[in-house]
Amino acid sequence: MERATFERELEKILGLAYGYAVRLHGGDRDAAEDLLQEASVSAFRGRDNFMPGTNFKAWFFKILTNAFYRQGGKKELETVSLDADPEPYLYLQAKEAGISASDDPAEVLFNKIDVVEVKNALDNLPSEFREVSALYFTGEMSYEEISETLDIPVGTVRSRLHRARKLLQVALWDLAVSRGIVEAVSYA
Amino acid sequence: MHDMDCREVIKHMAQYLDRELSSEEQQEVQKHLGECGSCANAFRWENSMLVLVKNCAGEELPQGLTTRIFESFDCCE
Repeated sequence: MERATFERELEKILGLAYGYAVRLHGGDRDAAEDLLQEASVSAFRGRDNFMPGTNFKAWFFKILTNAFYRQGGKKELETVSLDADPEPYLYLQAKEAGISASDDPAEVLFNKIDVVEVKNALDNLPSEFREVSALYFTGEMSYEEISETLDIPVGTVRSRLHRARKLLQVALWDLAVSRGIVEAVSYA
Repeated sequence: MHDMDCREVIKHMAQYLDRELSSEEQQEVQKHLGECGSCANAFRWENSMLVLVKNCAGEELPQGLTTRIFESFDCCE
C-alpha cells in the first residue's frame, strides 16, 4: 500500500482509535498517545500485509490491541460472575425507586450524570470487559468487527458485552444513588 | 414465525438495539414492543443508557497528534 493511501485510511479512524486507546489505558491519555504512536508505526511497517478489500479498521485495531499487550497491558481471566439471564437492570431499579415508567430516562437520570463519571465507569470495568466495551462504545464496531479484532467468537463478544452492560448499569445506578439523583427524582 | 413472550424479547433486547438480529427476529421484537408497554419502557431505558455511554465514551484527538504520527513514518521508509 502506498504511504499516501495508508495515511488517508488511518486518518479516517485515528479519532476512534485514540478513544479506544484511552479506554484501554483506563483514562491515561499520555499512555494512550504512546500506544497509538507505536501501533501506527507498526501498522505502517506492516502495511503490505493488509489485504485490500478487507476491513482496515478491524486490521488496525487488532494491531493496536496487540501493541497494548506488548506494552504490558494485562489480559485478565474472567472473574466477574453475573446472572446469565439478561435483565433490564436500570429500568427495574428505577421502577423500584418509584420513578414512573413513562418518564424520559434521559431527563430523570442519564442527563444528570457527569461525562467524566461515565468515562470512569467504563475505565473501571475489568480489562476483558473493557476491551469489548471500548470497541463497542468508542470504536463504533459491530459484533463481527469486534470478533475479528480480538480473535474471539461472536458469541463471546455478545456475552462479554452483555456482562459489560450489566456492570455499567450497576455502576451508573450506584453513582446516581450516591449523587442523590435518584432520591431527588423519587421524591419530587 | 411465532410470537415472542416478554422473557424472549428481553433476552433479545441488546441485539435488537444493536441491529444484530435477523430481520425476522427484528420484526418479531418490534411487534411485541408495539403491544407491550412494559417491554417498550424497558427498551427505552436500555437504549437511553447506550446513547449516554456512547456519547461519553469518545475522546477528542489531541491537536497535532496526527501530524506527529505521520512524521514518525519518515524513519520507516
